[in-house]
Amino acid sequence: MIGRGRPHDAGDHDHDHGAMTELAPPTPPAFPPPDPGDAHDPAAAHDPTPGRRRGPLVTLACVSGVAAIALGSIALLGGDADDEVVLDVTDVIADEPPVTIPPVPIETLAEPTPDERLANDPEGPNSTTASDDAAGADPELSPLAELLGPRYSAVPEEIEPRPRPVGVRSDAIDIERFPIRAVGLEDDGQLEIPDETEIGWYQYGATAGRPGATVLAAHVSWNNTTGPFFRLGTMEPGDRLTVALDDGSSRDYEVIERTMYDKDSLPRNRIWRNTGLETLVLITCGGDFNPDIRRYRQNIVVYAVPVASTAPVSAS
Amino acid sequence: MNTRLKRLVIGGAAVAAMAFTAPTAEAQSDVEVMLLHGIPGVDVDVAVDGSVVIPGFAPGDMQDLSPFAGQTLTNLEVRVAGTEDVAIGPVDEFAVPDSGSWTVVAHLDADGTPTITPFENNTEPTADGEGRLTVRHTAAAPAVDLVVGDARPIEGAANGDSADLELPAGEIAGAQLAPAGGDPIIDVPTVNLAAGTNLIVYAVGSLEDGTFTFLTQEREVGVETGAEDGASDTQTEDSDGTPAPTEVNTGDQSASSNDLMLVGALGLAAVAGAAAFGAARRGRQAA
Repeated sequence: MIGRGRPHDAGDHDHDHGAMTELAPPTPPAFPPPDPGDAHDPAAAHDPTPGRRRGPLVTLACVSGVAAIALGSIALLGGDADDEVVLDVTDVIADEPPVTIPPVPIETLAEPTPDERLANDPEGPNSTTASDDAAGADPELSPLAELLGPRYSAVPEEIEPRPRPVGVRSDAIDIERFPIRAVGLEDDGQLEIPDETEIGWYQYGATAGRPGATVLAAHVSWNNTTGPFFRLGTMEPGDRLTVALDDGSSRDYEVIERTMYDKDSLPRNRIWRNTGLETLVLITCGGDFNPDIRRYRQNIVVYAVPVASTAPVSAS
Repeated sequence: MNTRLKRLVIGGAAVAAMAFTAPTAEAQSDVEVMLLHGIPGVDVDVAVDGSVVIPGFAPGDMQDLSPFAGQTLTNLEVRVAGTEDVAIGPVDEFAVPDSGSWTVVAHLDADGTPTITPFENNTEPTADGEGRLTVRHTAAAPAVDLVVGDARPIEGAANGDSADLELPAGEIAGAQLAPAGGDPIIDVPTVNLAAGTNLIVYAVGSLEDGTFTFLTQEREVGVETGAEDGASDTQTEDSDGTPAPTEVNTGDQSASSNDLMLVGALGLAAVAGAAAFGAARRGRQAA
């Protein structure tokens, strides 16, 4: 890693990718339990493609904590008190009349470049004259005011957290009984993977219904048993997948590709992205096993794209 | 008039008549000085040598003072907006920094008395796929911990403290503040941390008065170039900034290696899971 020292910084910034999770309040099951009558299965009633084959609907046995909030890679760092200087010039406040200063040589001042600065206000700097009519009425606006740079708003926009995947089901493999939790990165930078009872949603990637790749990763095998993605390698183009989100909505996908990559050759621009075509990416291990490091040498990756029937326009 | 302002003792960053010392254009091109109004409830005018320089400066406003970098400012008055009532000052002298990136924050101290703190911003580039979240305690509130799930990445931050966290770029939701060592009491707003940016979150206002809130400042710092590439492949230059794990390991540490090879082969060949499961069990018993 490159050193992160910086001038004026007495503290050493510990750069720790510690992954951490938070158990969110219990959430309702990702998929509704099967209706014995089936004819009035609420899921089926909303299924825009009633003719397609469905796997059995199984209630997710344990979904509390599924919408876990994980915020990985947070450096443990105490207050960085050495970083700033609190100036206290109480004792220098003048009792004497203020010093008069010669006029400002305007030409020595560089023009501010507002576009070089990132402001929270997408409209750019506020107009200083528009911000307060009363001030505009003040007859004494200093010539210095014209030298000021732009003014911004530091009031943050309200951001609704993204909906998070809480479950995934398929007509081809039995994965809907596994809850999903948000995962980040381990200390060494590799993807955090839940144990054999859960599927991980990569929280720094996309979420279903948004641009980019929604990545779900799970073990093929773990703790002497099979993992949630034990049969991922059997998925074929055309297989359907449905992702349930914690806002109660769901999103249908169709598998378009299954590819095996060497561990060091996962295509970053297809898998780790928040821009571009909405894609559901399922990852597990497979291929050769390296007994020396007790790991597989390859990853199996399944790509799926939204099916037209789940586009918002067809929801009605 | 707000009584707080009357009690304000300006610490430094005063905007006042300036003793210009022939600044160079180069010196100003790499310096950034922002003045942030972090005291809820009071609009002010900032006057220099009897004339208003920053009119109608409202809580949450952030004024770029970079053109004054390197100057010594004297004789500052803070007036209630639109009036001649001097609420703060005059302040004799303050040297505006001539290098680096600074945010000068007018805020309440821990006891609720207005004060001004210049914070120097970290201009170092971030690592690939990361952003820098800076949290600054500038509120009339006791020391706090930043709580994220079960972790407390910042502990015991007191008024005037600033802490940097290097994090994977992405949405930061569900963070909370807690009194140091105590239970969380305040939700931190959801923010999006972009790769190569420094997002600074200021806690401002007063817990007691119910004016506690958050302000944010986003600065571009860029991403380290020539850094070691831990990503899955080398196409870093085409990345959209999404953090890329170094590896995805989803099937080790289980049974014996022979069993795992068998499991993997079975999975690929779509052979019934029961057979592999049985094989794994046999292997475990043998081991």
